[in-house]
Amino acid sequence: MNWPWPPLCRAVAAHGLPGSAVPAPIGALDEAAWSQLHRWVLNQRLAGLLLAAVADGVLELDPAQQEHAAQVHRKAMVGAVTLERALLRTIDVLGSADIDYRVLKGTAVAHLDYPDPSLRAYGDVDLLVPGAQLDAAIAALEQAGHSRRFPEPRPGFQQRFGKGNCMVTPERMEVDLHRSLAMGPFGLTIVLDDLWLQPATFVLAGTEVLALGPEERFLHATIHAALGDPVPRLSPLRDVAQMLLTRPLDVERVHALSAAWRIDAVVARAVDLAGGAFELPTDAHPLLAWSKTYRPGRRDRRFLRVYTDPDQTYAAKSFAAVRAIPGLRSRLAYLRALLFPARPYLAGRHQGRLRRLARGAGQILRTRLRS
Amino acid sequence: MVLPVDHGELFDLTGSGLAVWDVLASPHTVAEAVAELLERYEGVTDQVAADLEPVLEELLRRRAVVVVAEGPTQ
Repeated sequence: MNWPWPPLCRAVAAHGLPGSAVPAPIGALDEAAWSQLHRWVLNQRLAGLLLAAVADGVLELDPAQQEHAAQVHRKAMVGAVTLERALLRTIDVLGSADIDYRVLKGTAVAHLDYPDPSLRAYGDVDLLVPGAQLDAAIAALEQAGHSRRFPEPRPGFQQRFGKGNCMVTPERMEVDLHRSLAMGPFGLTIVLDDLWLQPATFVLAGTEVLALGPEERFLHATIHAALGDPVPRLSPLRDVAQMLLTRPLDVERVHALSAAWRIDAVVARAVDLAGGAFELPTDAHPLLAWSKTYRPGRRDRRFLRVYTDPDQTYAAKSFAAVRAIPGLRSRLAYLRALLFPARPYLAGRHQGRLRRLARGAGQILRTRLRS
Repeated sequence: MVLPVDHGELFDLTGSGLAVWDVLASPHTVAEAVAELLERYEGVTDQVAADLEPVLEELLRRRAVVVVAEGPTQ
């Protein structure tokens, strides 16, 4: 299969994965090869795995290249600890306002699913808050000096339909508040109450921090890997493989949650991609074998295309999400917010209502004509 | 690298500073910290205590560590 990443990059991403058959690089890297690898490592956030591959003698770099790799990793870790400080401050603000939370994605995965958090670089902070408390969480953070990055289409839209809201801290760092785990149609079928049942915990600077439980965290990793980008990224795929192969997962519970959330097609896509990218044997985990035989239905194929189409647009995802909203009144409220958003939303993103409608209609029409 | 949780800038700990940081992962009196460092490194008690003092002062100044309980000077 033709993968979108160079073989060396895939080898770095696979480093340390038990059972991976991705061939290890042979010999020293010339400058052209190192330059390409360095760019991809930065792009795919693989600095920790790169350094580990060097330290374990799998990747042969000359002293100057090793120094360069160390600098790349250091920069990633400076970013990570700075984000962790922002996270602790944000959690503190939410705690003072009695708002529950779960840490999502990079920070949680690094501390809970990797043998050493420095193996997993990340570039922002993601927090899940209860949908009913999203507006209160935003208000509490605004009072503490944070600001919204984007206004919502209409008051109450994010709390009711949206994935969440991006907040900017006083130190200009981004904290993404999530109500659900995905935008678009698959985000609206997740049973949000399931996300609050069984937290996992880890310690950051002496503070116990809450995250999703292992099965929920695995499912979120599959959502991120399968839907996060039209071209899959290696870091989220590595998360999926890491959790499959190195921590005990209750497979029955994974299947039960996935079915209830109506994301079987997403999980199958992510696991299949991870299995292929890292050349994992099908018998390494029951979910790998299952992903090979799973066939998505028509609805799921249509929904997946919204996320995986290289020309995916926000308008197309939003339009597709209508089908996932139960109840006529809710659908009408959703459409009204998107078609007739409030002025602050338009001012932040578009130049006038008519231009926004024309642009969105054009995006949707192009998507429909291709499907 | 160390980034104080409440305020301050990131800084690096190297060499014996790392050992001090490791010891201070749990609360210690100065005497306990000196004793633990002596187990790890060769040295004379007075010398280790003298080397430890400026490191502790710097960590306190940067708010990377805090005093959790006052005790008799040791």
